[in-house]
Amino acid sequence: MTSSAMTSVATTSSAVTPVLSVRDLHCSFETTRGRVHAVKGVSLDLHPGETLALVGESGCGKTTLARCILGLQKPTSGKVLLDGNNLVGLSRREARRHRPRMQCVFQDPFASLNPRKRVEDLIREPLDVQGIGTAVERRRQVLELMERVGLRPDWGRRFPHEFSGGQRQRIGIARALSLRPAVLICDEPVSALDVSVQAQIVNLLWELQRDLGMSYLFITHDLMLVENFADRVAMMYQGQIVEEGPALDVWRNPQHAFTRSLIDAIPIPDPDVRLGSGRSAFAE
Amino acid sequence: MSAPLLSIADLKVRIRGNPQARLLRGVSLSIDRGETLAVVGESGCGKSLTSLAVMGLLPDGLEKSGGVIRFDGADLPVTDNEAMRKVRGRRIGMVFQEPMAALNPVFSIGDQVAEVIHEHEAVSHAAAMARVVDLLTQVQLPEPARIIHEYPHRLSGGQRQRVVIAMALACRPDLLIADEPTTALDVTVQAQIMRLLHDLQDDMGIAILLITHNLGLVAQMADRVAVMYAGRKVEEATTRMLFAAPQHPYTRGLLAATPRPGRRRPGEPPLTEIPGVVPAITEMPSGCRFRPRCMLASDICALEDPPFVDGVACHRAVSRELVP
Repeated sequence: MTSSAMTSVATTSSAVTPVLSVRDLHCSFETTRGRVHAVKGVSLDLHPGETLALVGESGCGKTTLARCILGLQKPTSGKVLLDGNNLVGLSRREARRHRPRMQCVFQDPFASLNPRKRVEDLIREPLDVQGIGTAVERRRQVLELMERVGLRPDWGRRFPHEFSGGQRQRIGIARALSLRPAVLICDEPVSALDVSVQAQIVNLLWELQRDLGMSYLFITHDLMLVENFADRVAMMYQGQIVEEGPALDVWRNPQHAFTRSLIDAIPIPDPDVRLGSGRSAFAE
Repeated sequence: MSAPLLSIADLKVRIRGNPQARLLRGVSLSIDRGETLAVVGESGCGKSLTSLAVMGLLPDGLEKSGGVIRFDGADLPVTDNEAMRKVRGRRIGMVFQEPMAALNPVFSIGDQVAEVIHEHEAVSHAAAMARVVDLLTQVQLPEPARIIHEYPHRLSGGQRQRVVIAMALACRPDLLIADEPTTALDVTVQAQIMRLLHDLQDDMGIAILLITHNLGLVAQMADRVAVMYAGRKVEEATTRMLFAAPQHPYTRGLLAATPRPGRRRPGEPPLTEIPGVVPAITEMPSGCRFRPRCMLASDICALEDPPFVDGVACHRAVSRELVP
């Protein structure tokens, strides 16, 4: 598969400088069964204020790509450019300077919060690490953040286990927002949540983006959610981006066989609508 | 009209020694032979507890405090573990969410599926193994003669779930309880598994109790739907009616919160929320338990838990609003 298989979106995106760019990124691992090439030459651009969804199934390399972008995994080759600065190969100290610009929201709100820390300490921790403001200013900022994401400020002394999954995800979002990042990497942030809570969190992310102008790289397996939420979508299959374009176009007019098979498999929440191969999924 | 295959009447489950902690507050459901009933609702609504109560597998610390469960014309002895062992796996098969947790990592696939057959029928091991190969073929696993010698960790998630389905079907049950059978799987694998269940249902005439929070699966699979909220059934209808004319504000909220194609409006939030959260079991409100999250709640909703009438438990249901 080569870049000719991709649909071009150059017309809509070339005018603005991307806030985050990935260039020809490769990442492979040595395993007992030989070398696994998890990411095979991925290039992406994320523009200011947009949501780019990265969609693929388990094992397609989307989480490895996210880890490379965040500096949690060293890529084999390629570049990750944040505001034009290549992050690949930086020392820990140098990388830390760039970190406030790019933060992450994780999938599992149960595993991603330290159970021994109080909510206010969890949200304040990035500010402490970066040494931003005085103690008083930091405390005030924590209260503002909690209010911003829909947590009651008097909950600050509580521990994560006292919260539901949706509320924990709000804590994770407040923590990620504390450094006022330009880019938020969201790795399956709502796939562990019930549908009504998922709607609350997706709407919160949408509202935060509208008010703060952040860019989201939204990693998910849920193409229907993407159709409802993202601006652009990049389809990832076996370590490569096989299709990229505006979310609605990809949904309505998928070009790559993988995208089509994914759309065909999605059960539509309407008994009168059958997609793809008719009663898409289940009956012939 | 013949009696339903499974009927659950006024099922109550509570935390042992705590009569206030009512986890199921009088749930009634029924399934006919060959039918698919979906039970939907959010985490903690009691949909899984209902199925565990039917199997006699309530977790320690919980007890059935009321209600009658009838299966194929007789009372189901859910508190008699020895009697239930003859029902589970033979008359009622089960498929759960996590196939890896349902399989024993130290036994081969063949031995595990054969164990179900040996439990219920006096057959030789060779005869049982021959049936296992047939079953694995039926659930469309490639090279069944090889797979019987494999161990669970060597299979993919979808293959493991097919093995679990083969185990559930080994003794040709009348009812299959499928509790979030595809939640842990990729959407393309989910489609394969659901198609398989659909085809097996056509071939064998099994009834399926499908427990899920995925309204897409419900729309594509179920004949009827029961919606649960905070320990009781709040609405029940045919699938077509439920999606076309949902009655309960909670059902309408769930449908509105579900992503679907072509609903996006520029400048508006992408999804429609149900405000608030499900209250904790210790903090349940008076009257209707959905009241604190309900846009339509009025005075009566705080006073009286609405009775289940004409398919819905709501003082402010759409159909009732239409009555002058």
